[in-house]
Amino acid sequence: MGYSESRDIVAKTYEEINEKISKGKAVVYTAEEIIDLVKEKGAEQVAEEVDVITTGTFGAMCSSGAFLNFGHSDPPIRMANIRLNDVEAYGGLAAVDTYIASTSKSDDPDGYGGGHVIEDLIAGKKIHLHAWGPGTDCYVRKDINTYITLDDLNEAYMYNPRNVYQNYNVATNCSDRTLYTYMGKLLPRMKNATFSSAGQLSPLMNDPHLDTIGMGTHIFLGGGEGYVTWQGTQFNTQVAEKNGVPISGARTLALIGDLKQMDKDFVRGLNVHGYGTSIALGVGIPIPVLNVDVVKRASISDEDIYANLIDYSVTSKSRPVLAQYNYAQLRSGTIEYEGRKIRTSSLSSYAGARKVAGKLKDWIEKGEFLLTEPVKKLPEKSFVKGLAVKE
Amino acid sequence: MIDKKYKMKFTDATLQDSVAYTLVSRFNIEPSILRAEIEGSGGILILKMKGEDSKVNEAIDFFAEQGIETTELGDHILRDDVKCYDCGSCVSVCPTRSLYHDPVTFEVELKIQTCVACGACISACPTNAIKLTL
Repeated sequence: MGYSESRDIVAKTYEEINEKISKGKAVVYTAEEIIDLVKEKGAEQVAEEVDVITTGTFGAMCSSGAFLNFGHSDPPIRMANIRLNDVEAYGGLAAVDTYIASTSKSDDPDGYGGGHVIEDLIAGKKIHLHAWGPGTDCYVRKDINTYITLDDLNEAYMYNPRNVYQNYNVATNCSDRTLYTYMGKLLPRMKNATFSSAGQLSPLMNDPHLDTIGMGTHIFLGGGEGYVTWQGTQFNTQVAEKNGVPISGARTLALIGDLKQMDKDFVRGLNVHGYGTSIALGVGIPIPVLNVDVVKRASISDEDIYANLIDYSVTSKSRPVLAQYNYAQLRSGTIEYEGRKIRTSSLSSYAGARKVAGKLKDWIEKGEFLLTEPVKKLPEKSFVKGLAVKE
Repeated sequence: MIDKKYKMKFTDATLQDSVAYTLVSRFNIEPSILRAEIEGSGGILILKMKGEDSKVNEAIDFFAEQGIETTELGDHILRDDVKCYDCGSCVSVCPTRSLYHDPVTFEVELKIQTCVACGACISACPTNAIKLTL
């Protein structure tokens, strides 16, 4: 897939698109629907006719959590040690602020963690708050034991340092024992392989160099509205590409969103066996059809997006790449490696990604969701450093 | 003609009985052993029996007299559709492909008829949505 750069032919501006959205007249397609439309009509005509392309993904995003403010009790407490349903929340912020992180885990044998606390808050459930403080002249109380709901909180917003990884590995296991990894259960002797991208629907696959997505982009996060706040951690632009798209983990986004607007259908606490707890989130990002190039990039299909098969039984950081597959092959349920068949399955929900992209499309069509032009572009050059162990 | 799956429960006293041989030679039933979990104190056998209705019923009565309890497998696997978000983590670990992605909707479907209750999916599911009731 070659991109003929034609940035001078600007089809639309953000203002024009938003005006159409406000009037309920915007033409919106999902990144999956646009593929066939472009095949049928060509990118130029689609750029004329379509205003917004919606993307979506719904998968595990460990680097996620939420800031909460409990309000002050009487007498007040400076909470230094905080438990929410027995899950540790951060006690190093101001008196009654905390951050509950998805991978923070209680001692519950069934695996209950911060992701579950967030899911339960969104579901409107009562959460047990138990906190201790040093007791000071201004905050005399030393402990508090009570129950809270999302409605009781002053502010509750998700802030996720790293979400929507642009592509990721395909994991397999060449060893003789089953591995339980963040890439799921990997059966011995390459009996299966797992992958985790929504491929052709995934936000950063459809705008691979972040020409339209940047700081301030208005997004769908967990069923409510949110924004892109920064580049995500481990943001990497130095990754090999195929068909204009990175073939392994590259760019990421830091996202913010209002927990009070979220819908539990798009937020799931996870217990990844042998790894720990996490959270699965539905994230959707709208791509404004500013020009033909935007359409060409967003019409990429699973057949043209590739990922590396990696042996997760190798415990060192640099694992060899065994092979490369496209997402159509991965999603078919079976790939072939050196004459043998390996069964594949996804760790992120493609059905869920469709729902996210569909819901965002619905909001935009109804005029309920406007697009924002980024206030700052995310880095064009950035690479990831390792951690040296020093004496 | 019956072609169904059953669970047979053994005690330490009945552990040595040759069930498959008896089913074939005495009742003309075609057994397919799907799963066996045997310990010193007893165990369970999941098997499919294919044969005449009357013969299958006779066989079940016969084994009952020997002290081997046989029950038909019904809802031996339960999936919580609210917890499941169709991620598919269970799909590639299921040896009988009873958990699979619908090729059109990409929702995860469960075909209970082919499930052999091996439990491989339990530890693969990140939302604890699957339970075995054996």
